[in-house]
Amino acid sequence: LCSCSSCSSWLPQRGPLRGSHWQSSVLTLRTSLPVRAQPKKKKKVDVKREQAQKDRMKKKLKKLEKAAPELIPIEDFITPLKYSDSNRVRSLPPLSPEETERRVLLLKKWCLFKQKQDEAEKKGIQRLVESQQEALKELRLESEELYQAAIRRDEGLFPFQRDGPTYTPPLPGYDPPEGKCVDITKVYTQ
Amino acid sequence: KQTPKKKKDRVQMKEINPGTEFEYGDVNIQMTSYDMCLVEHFAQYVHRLCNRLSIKVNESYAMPTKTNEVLFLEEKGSKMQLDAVLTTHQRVVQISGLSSTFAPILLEVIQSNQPEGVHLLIKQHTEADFKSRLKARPELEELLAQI
Repeated sequence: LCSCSSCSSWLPQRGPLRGSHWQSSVLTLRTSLPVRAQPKKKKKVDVKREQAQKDRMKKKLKKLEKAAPELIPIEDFITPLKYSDSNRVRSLPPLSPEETERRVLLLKKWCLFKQKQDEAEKKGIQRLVESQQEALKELRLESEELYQAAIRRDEGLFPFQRDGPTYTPPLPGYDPPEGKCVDITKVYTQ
Repeated sequence: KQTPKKKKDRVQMKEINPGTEFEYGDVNIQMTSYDMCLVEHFAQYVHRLCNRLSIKVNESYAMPTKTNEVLFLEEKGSKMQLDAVLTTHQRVVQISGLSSTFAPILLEVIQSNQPEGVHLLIKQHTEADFKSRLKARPELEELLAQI
């Protein structure tokens, strides 16, 4: 038989007694049990967790950095599938011998024309270089200082921009409609 | 006989040649146009011209194609209407060691053969130019920002 005379002393002294019946838990105002007893072990666990997280991130970074960077694929060089459809093959009509003769002669004339054009360009470049060399030679005879300055590279030359010529000049007094340009280029990610 | 390739060639940036006092280093000749055939042929012409003039060509590549939707506002309306979808193509011929005396001559020749609607830009090659050819890596950038 246990003596129940001193019941109060048997009561566990750990938890405080409930102040009032409004306070639903036996514990103090913090109404949930601390899961990891944070206030006591805050410094160690946090540092460990942060270190582990950093290590994981560094590992992931290393793995990503190991993968070589990839070039964006050029859409110009990828034939759309619809063009490789066999239904698109055309059957051309047969050509008469006069027509083939005419075409061959035309091709020869064109080749000759382009050859003359190319030769003229080569000669032009050669003449430009020759006259440039002569001018530099004369300059050297005149003044060594100026010659040295002349053969240095021009820092203001690049960047150099030029728009291609147009078939027609712009229309005077043309009032374009309001509008906008939207960039819909596909963005490739690795 | 070919030496077997042990692994795929890594896409790595080559060292940029800065040039000397009398020579330009790595220079990019960029040609841009809406017309792909014109720009392709012009790029081939420029490449062959440089070969013929004994100018070292480092690389000859295409930049990614850009696509733009052109919308315009109708006269009696508030809605934007689709006018056209334009694709912009760009080709680059990278040369190196162009002498300072020959540079103006080369520019003159290229300009005189510039076709209609092809925009020409000649500039020195930079790391940013190389990086613009690569795919974006948002994961990597995010991680780097976090650290």
